[in-house]
Amino acid sequence: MEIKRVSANVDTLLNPQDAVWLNRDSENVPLIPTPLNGNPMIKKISPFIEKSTDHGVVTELSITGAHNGDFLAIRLSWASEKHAEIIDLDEFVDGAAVMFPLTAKASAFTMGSESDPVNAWYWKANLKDEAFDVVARGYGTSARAKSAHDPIACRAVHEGGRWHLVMGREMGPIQGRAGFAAGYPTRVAFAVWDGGNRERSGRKSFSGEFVSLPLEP
Amino acid sequence: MAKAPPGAPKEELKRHNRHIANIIDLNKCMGCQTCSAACKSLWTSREGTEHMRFMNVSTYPGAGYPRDYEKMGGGFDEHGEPSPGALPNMVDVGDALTFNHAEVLYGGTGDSVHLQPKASLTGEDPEWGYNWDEDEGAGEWPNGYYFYLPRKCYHCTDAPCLDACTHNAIYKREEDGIVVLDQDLCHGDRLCVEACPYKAIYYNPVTEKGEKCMMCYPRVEQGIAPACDRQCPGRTRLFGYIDDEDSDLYKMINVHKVALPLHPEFGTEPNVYYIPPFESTKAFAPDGSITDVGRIEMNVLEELFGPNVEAVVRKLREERAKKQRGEESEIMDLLIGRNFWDRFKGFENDPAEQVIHFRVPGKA
Repeated sequence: MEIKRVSANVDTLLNPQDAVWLNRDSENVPLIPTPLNGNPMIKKISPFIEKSTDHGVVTELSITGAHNGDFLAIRLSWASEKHAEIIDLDEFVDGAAVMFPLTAKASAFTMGSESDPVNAWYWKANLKDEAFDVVARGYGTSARAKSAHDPIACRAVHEGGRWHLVMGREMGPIQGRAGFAAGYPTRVAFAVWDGGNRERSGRKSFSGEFVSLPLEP
Repeated sequence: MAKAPPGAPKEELKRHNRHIANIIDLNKCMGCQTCSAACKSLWTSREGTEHMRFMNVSTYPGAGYPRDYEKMGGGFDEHGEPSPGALPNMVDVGDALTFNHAEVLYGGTGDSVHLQPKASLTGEDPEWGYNWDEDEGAGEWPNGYYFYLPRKCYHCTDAPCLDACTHNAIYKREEDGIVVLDQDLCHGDRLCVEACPYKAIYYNPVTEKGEKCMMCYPRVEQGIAPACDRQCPGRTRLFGYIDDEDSDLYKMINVHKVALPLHPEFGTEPNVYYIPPFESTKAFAPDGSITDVGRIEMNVLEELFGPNVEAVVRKLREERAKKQRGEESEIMDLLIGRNFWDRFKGFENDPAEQVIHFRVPGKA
């Protein structure tokens, strides 16, 4: 998979149904349930969530990426019913995240660590066209990065039994956040929450450890 | 405060120097809901909290509140391992029914239209609500019986809600052991609601965060008893530090040992204790004569308070018999509570005379 350079403005890139996306091949990324049950690190964070065994029902994610030299956009698409509202007290919404390491040693399995944090773009279906910029330093530490404005742009459409979501950000450097530059690779991991299966928190599907993601010069 | 950052060990969050506790005398509770109303008007009249009843009173035997909470899991098993739990829905937590008050009272149709409740999520006739099974109880005619069971957060010493939260948003206050939920750290995942076997944490769908009884700590800090305890007109309540050896509360729990935790088998060490109902209405014999036997079966009490309840009930009956014979009984004197303020030792201050500073979640 490679982030292709395209000549398209931000509005076009953020439209999950634009030809800039539909005319391109996407890459299928297999997802697995997060390793919660029997995981001693998880037990320390929450001995209750450690008991989870029925999460991770989304097993495949379709990924495409593009940049125009200034703006990086990643499109995620996956099969799911639509769970976009919390009406009753036992309901949860669908969600997705794209995660980047902030150091060379940061691990996606542990959501980073104190010395090696990670940065994630986190979308929840009830937020519509809004996404959180999250920094984590280990399990249970994910928190919205503090900034005057949220740098993550996003747009989501549910059609044909699938979510089609684009999240993106200006590529210019932001202190304490992932950096991107054309011609240089970044590394990436993905996660999806199925609201219908009451997935939230660590109960989710993920793509495993970070993999390389080159940005076309 | 035993507040600790996300990732810190749970032991740090549970650390406390002293612990407050409650006793509720079920023999005196008349189900008037004054405690529930005091709590509701003080804490849960904001948007998104309409369905929450941090303090609630339901009829027992019955479905309880939230509906069938005893069957929803949570807490710890006999080996101390976490028991996965379920989430109550809007109907289970008693709903926030709306009524056509304006139509009936001001619409000119008061002669023909009656008050009609509507379920909050469907707008239809409600299928369940708070106190839906009030005064139904159990037992076969003519020996039907029931009693009232007031409940709130038990501020457990081994609080499973605190264990469950992956963000360490829940912790015990170091000065009094009160379990609080930090709104800024809460992500609304509701793992705490699943873990609480008493279902004493509620989800606010507007703020997308959890909320719970915080034992009126802004009052407690000013030496004022929690609102539910102070407002009880039946003198059912005691509140104070569990290690205050001069208090009535201490004597009942630790000296006379007549106050028992609810569902000790949940394994969480709750800090709200109950005086079990030890003498219900006398049962009729098949021939219609009145017997000396109470109508509440001991197994019903054992289900609630564990195997020690039989000995406690026997002791309470013996103490009452002493009093009836004109002898002294400290236990009976404690239960009668002639001096209201003895029941709240150290927390006798009048809220009208104190300035209480606190922040209501969701308000500036």
